[in-house]
Amino acid sequence: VSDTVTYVEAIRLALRTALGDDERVLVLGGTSAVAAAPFGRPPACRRSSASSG
Amino acid sequence: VIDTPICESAFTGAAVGMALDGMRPVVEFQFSDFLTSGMNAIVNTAAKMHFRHGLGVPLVIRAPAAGGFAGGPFHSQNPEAWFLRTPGLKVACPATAEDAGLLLGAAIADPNPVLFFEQKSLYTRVKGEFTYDSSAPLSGAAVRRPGSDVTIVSYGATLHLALTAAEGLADEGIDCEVVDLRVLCPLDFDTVAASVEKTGRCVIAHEDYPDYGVAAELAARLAGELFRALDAPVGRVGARFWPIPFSPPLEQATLPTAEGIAEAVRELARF
Repeated sequence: VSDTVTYVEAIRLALRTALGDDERVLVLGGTSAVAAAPFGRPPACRRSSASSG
Repeated sequence: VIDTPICESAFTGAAVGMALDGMRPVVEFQFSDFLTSGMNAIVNTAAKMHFRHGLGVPLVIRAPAAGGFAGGPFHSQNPEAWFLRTPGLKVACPATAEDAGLLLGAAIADPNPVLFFEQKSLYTRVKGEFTYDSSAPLSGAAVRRPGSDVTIVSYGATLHLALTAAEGLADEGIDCEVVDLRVLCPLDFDTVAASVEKTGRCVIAHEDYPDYGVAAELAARLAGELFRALDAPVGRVGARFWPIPFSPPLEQATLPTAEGIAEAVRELARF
């Protein structure tokens, strides 16, 4: 797979690829925004949740 | 994808259990500063499980780190050195979009617990090709700029400051080689050594404090193993040794800059 992406997009794509390639892979995180961020949740969710971090 | 409460000790401990049960969990800490809350599961359980019980813990901990956005002392730290002196952990800190994808895939495929530091200022500022290869090695430094006068060793966001400094220094007649460590443990000392044997001078620059961390370790190894190749003392550039301030001008005065790296190189070049 090859395309021009930002750093964070590369991380999202790597997570998606790993989740698709290997059923043993799972993602878990501290907030819904964090866990969803790699899958396209708007950045505002990350910002609004930061105050609770 | 499992959405969890913000309880780092709980979701890190759960992830270690999942890894022991055959899963390959990828845990995201919202900010790496709060790795302290998952420290026991990481350092005392995950890192030692292989040595104590012969059990692998294929766990990846994504750790958004570093400053540059007025996040203050609890959302701007670079805690990689906390983990580098724990046998059993691997530590990566990619500087490019290519490595963000490549090293994350390698980390997920690795049978060991991996701390994956993502310096937040890189998220939208650097672009590159997306590359994914789960068989790629989770190791190896890379020469990002060849040069002959001074070696600058760096990683993460500071790599880009080092490259900026190198470009400016070229106009002054100082030809810098810039080495990107990429993975901090296992450390590719051979690539660093090959560069320093060529240049005879080395500056190590990273956003973490230069005290007690990667720069200190590399400086010690260079002094111990390449003393005869050195034409000047080893230079270190990093954050000033106090908590990262909220105030943008104070934060700017605390974190390393391209000019600060350039000045460190000029000082070595005068030897």
